[in-house]
Amino acid sequence: MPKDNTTDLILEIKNLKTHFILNAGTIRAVDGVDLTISRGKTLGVIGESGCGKSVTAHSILRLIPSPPGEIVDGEILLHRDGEVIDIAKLKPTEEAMRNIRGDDIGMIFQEPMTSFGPLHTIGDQITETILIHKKAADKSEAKSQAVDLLRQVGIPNPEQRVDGYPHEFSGGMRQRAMIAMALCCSPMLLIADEPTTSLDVTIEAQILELLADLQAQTGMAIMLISHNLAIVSEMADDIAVMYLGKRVEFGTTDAIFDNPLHPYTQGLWRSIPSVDGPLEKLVPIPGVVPSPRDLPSGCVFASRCSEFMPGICDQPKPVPIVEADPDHFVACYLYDNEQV
Amino acid sequence: MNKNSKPILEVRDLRQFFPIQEGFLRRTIGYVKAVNGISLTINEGETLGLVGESGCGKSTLGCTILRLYEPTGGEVILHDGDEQLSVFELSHHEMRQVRANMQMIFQDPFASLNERMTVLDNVIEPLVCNDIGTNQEREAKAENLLMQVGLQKEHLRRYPHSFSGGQRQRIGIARALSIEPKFIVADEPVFALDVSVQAQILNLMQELQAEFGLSYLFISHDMAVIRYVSDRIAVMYVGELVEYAERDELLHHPAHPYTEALHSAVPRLTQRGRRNRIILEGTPPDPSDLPPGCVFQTRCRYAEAKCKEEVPELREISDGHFVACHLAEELNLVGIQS
Amino acid sequence: MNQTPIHAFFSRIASGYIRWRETRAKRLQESLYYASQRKLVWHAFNRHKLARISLVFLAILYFVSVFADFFAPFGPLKRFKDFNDAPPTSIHLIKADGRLSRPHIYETKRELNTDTFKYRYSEDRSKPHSIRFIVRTEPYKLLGFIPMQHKLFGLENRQVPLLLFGSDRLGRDVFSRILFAGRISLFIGFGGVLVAFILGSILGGISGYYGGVVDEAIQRVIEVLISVPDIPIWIALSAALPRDWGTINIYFAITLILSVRGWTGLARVVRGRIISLREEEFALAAKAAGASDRRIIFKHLLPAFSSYLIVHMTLAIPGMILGETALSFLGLGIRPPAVSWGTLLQEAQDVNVLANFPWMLIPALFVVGAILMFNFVGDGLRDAADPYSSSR
Repeated sequence: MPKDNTTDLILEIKNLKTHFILNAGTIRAVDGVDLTISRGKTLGVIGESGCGKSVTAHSILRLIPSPPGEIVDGEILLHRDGEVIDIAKLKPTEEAMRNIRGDDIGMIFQEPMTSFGPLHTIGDQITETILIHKKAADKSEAKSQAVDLLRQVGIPNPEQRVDGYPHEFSGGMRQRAMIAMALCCSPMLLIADEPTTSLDVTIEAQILELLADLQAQTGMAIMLISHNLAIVSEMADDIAVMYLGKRVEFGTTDAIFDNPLHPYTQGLWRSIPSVDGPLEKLVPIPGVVPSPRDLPSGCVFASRCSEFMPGICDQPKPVPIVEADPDHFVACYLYDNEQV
Repeated sequence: MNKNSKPILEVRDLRQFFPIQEGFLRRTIGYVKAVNGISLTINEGETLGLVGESGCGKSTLGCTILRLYEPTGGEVILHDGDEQLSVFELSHHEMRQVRANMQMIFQDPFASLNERMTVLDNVIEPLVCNDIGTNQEREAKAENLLMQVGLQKEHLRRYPHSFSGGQRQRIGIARALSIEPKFIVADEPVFALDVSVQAQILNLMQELQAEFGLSYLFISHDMAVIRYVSDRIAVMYVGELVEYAERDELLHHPAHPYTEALHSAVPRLTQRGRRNRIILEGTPPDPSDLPPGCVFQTRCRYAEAKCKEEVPELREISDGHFVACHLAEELNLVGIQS
Repeated sequence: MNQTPIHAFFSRIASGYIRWRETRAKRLQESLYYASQRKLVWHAFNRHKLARISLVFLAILYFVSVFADFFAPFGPLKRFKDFNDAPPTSIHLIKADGRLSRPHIYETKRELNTDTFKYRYSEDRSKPHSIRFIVRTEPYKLLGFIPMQHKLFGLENRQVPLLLFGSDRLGRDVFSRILFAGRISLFIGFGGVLVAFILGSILGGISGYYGGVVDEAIQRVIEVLISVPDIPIWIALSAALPRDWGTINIYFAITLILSVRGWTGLARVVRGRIISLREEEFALAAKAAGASDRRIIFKHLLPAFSSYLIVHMTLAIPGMILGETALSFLGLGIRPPAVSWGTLLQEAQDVNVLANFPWMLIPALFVVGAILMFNFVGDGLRDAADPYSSSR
């Protein structure tokens, strides 16, 4: 694993499989994903829509609607004060799970408008969360904490804004308030699922800056999920690349960006325009993402891969995960020297 | 780029205000100034990139140029050979000639196709509406177009719901091309697509441009995409054009503080970890309640007293480089370092 | 594992079956690519069992009502002397000698009970009559123009009453009358919804597409109309109908009265959808393609929510049927001699009926059944109307 000091681990995901069992067939949204997140570090998860990155995040918090969603296999190990809890074994409605949500792991979403109820003030909603998790003795104490939090996330005039309703906040301000709410129990881990996708570039810069500042202050770990490679490259220490429910590559940010191994990662790099690098002709990844309903039986990327090896890549068995370089894992036969 | 190329479209002082109405009698109490006096020129065969944040009026500008909305004021002049057509003065019948020259590619491929019609009917809709060709000719044309945008002719009889986002956008492009326009407004054509598919569409648009000699007004919020496709770039902020120049000139030597900040805010692939970027405080002003003076003065870190009083004119500071800033000459702004 | 020939045989069959299933699924998937919206909706609707069954029953009900001349053993006004308020005739399958035989009935005798002064009906076991299918009857005209001489079932002897659901005070067959009444009651729903649909989509469309003062005016009218309770407005309007109008006139007048409020809901639906769709990209795309306003509305906007309209209309029909029933029940709707389910129930108004002639309430079962089935079908359509969201 990238950081071999296991005492620093906060979250370990091993072979997670979250499937959606529908009448029309089973969708293997997450199908054998391993991730590790260490204290104070940022893990970037990148991938296109439908790759299972959000489902992974929701699985960690057990927010998957069931039915049809179900964690069919794997472990989600939360390391807390020396003990290890397997979140995958808990019931979504159990008290232990409710305590983990918010208390140990906070989450912010892409569209902050839907995360707040429209009928209560921002302050009331943050205060209520604080009281539920018993971080304050009474309502007035909770409210003063809420004001502090809003100030911490850079909302001007927090004393007044605390009584404002969500619709009175702009998109950026709402995302700040959302972060404040996620932070109210000082979680060890903050899951940020596309936190800036609905925001403008200049507002996005504000929010990313804020997240980096908060991480420096509190030492929390961040799991940053995004389809925007540039954001992840700026924020993350480690990166997991996902494609169709599989984690195809995992390593440090430098390794992933300077020495991408998986043909999908390499293809991604060639297909995105840069805002300041040399201007090169883009090389798109050909074809379309296969439907998650009928995944190919071998490597899921085989149908679009430029390095496709007939007879090897389409073997109907899981692709082995190879540690090609120290702490740099890739699920690809190209690097599987011993076994081919 | 050819400096002597002929213009295909000129926009002069275009304004598009949407009234804010209130009460039973629909009294107008103010205007949202979505497009507030914009002038620009697009040359034959070039791509003008229009970049700006959401709500800055860039999509409205695109739609108004095509007269999808009736404009509040200004002029759009389309050059068709030696003929000059003033788009807003034409009758509905005469608009046909304009439509044959200007088309649009839309942002959301899931919303822009008619789900009830086959791919064929979607693609030939402009021909049907303008009464061009017989049914056989239309169908033959649609077949050709579908191949040109990278689909197969078997797809003609299918319905849009069986296609992915990228494929749908190809259908949208085929529809825009069916009437053989010279000029296309592309409104965030890759916004809704996955990164690996974006490049497919961007390259396709460039190939088609070379093949048909198209001119694009390419609207996007994504600086990297704009840089990749554009010959020239126009930067919009709250309904106004703040800067407008050739691509490398604008990116390497920005003259407007907003251009500088916008470019700086974009996350970089080439830089890891934290870097010193310009963080713009606050949010853009409300387009129905503009500040006095320069539109950008509320967030500008260089703003002086003059900026809060006088509205800066868009002026040419060097050959083909237009900027609307009082301090353009004094500031030494940072662009791409090369 | 050593495989015996039997094993190999079965595994071959099994794998063949799996392959067949796969190709079938694939073919189905491919046919979906070419499926229009209408087919997708139908596909989704078909998975809704209750709705599908209801649709079949409704179809049968409508069919039987339309061809009531053929299906009903007697005409709606045919009276059997001395059979006033007779109970349903029982049908027997076992003859007096204990042998199974074709369905038959016995002639009914009537006696006056001199203590209670009520008639008592009893079977005369000596006179069996077989029920025959496609039985020859007096000549009549199906739908008013096809000369026919047969009915679906009946007795050879036309003078012996076969009263499946009993008879009413005047000795008329309730079963036959229910079928004939269905013609009015079931179709007044269609008629009302049709008028409501035309009014609603035109006024709603204008209101939504053009907006402004027209929109305001139409919206205010709708608000006034829906703030008046149903029954009083219907009563007022139908009380104004001239007493000497014929059945046809009354029928159309009642249809109009019922749709006076029916269109308002639809107009609101249409207006809302148009307003939201007008700004959608496919509408802008059509405009950019050069489509006229009319083409945009009728070719692009209306089809985009036709499924919603159909759902709305399906769910509106029961309201119309109930409205007609209520009006006729109060004596303000369809007037005798025309029969509707409402007029049939009107005859069953007093307590005497409830106590002594409960079969007179059978029409109510038809009303309830039809309305329930319309609601099931409407629910099924509503779930199916958006095939894209449900298929994900």
